Amino acid sequence: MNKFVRAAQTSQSLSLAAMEEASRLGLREADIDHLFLALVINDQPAGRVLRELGIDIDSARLAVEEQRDAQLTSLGIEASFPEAGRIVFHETDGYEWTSRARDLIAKSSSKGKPGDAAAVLRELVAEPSGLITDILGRLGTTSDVLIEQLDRADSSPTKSMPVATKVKGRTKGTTETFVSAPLDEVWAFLKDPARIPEWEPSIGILDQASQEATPGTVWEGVAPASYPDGKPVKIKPQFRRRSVELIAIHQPDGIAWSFGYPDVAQSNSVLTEFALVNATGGTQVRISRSWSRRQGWRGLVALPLRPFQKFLVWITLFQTGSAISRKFR
Amino acid sequence: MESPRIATVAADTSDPKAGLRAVASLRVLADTLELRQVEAALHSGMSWQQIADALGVTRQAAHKKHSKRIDPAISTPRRNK
Repeated sequence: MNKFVRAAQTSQSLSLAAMEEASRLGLREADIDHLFLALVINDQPAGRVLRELGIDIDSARLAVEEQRDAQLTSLGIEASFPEAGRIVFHETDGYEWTSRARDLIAKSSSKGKPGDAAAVLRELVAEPSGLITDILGRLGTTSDVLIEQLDRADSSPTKSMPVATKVKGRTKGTTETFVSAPLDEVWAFLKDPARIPEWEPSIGILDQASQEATPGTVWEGVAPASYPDGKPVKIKPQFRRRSVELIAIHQPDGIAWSFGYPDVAQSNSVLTEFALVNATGGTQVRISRSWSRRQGWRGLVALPLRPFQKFLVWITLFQTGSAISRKFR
Repeated sequence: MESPRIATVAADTSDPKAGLRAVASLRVLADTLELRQVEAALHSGMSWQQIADALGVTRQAAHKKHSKRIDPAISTPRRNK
């Protein structure tokens, strides 16, 4: 993967997670403390380094909150920040980075720097205000320890992003996401047909979701009528009805679902596969999405569009991955 | 009386670096509260002009800062309502 793609994907996933964290607090501007929280739940080695130091999302949130409250107290102001609620990022609008956070992310991919999450974390611990140093102190560690661990992780590189295995005649994309919950909880979530609308944005309601999940079972559903922010979805009538089939289930760490359009002739169903692996502080989830390519002249027409297709697959994978991560925060 | 004590501590300038960073946190708190109050005001039927007057800024400034940030479920008043 080239540096540009890696930097773009890193910045996209960190932006989403940081702005989700800001949205819990009723803020619309994500700052460096939210960026720190986003790194704690990042799927790349930088996130793993933080979690291996015993920092999880709950302790990190608490440290940020205590730091902010302590600063107010130091001014002699007896007030505390309003209590955090649930993540409302996907239902609201108007989010942006503070300029220092934006500059910091830009710096992490400039002048020969790799632009991955570890590069962002290195910039973050060196930020001049001292906010992150203080937060790390509250979490029982220091910037020096963190940098040392990052160096160690860099010198023993592990594959940061899986390369999609090519299957002849199929378009396929793969991504990984970190979920801050134990494997059995993530498994229970992903194997429950009733919860599919929570991670698959193209499904609004699923019928008979209480039916037992065995391979070959088919559920019927409909596409959502509105976006999470309440705006109506415009959709052609033949794409309204959806079908969902459980293709395979490997207790307790693998499951495959297939999504189709029963009203569309020559409908091409999309296969979504999940593989779960235990990780420090949570679960690493690998998500793959694939569909068969068109045969004949349609396939030839689609050929020059493959890079665009690849990008679209990545977008849908990213949406599913972040929806799962959000459910456990 | 709380306020004189607050004034004394807030005016403590012996550690300006910590003081400045604390002021930055205070701004974040102010932003959080401002958005909450604007949403509550719109819920209660106040117009952008009334909100702007209360904040001491122009209607355009209040609208520009908050119109995208507020909960989209709030039906915002038209200009001449």
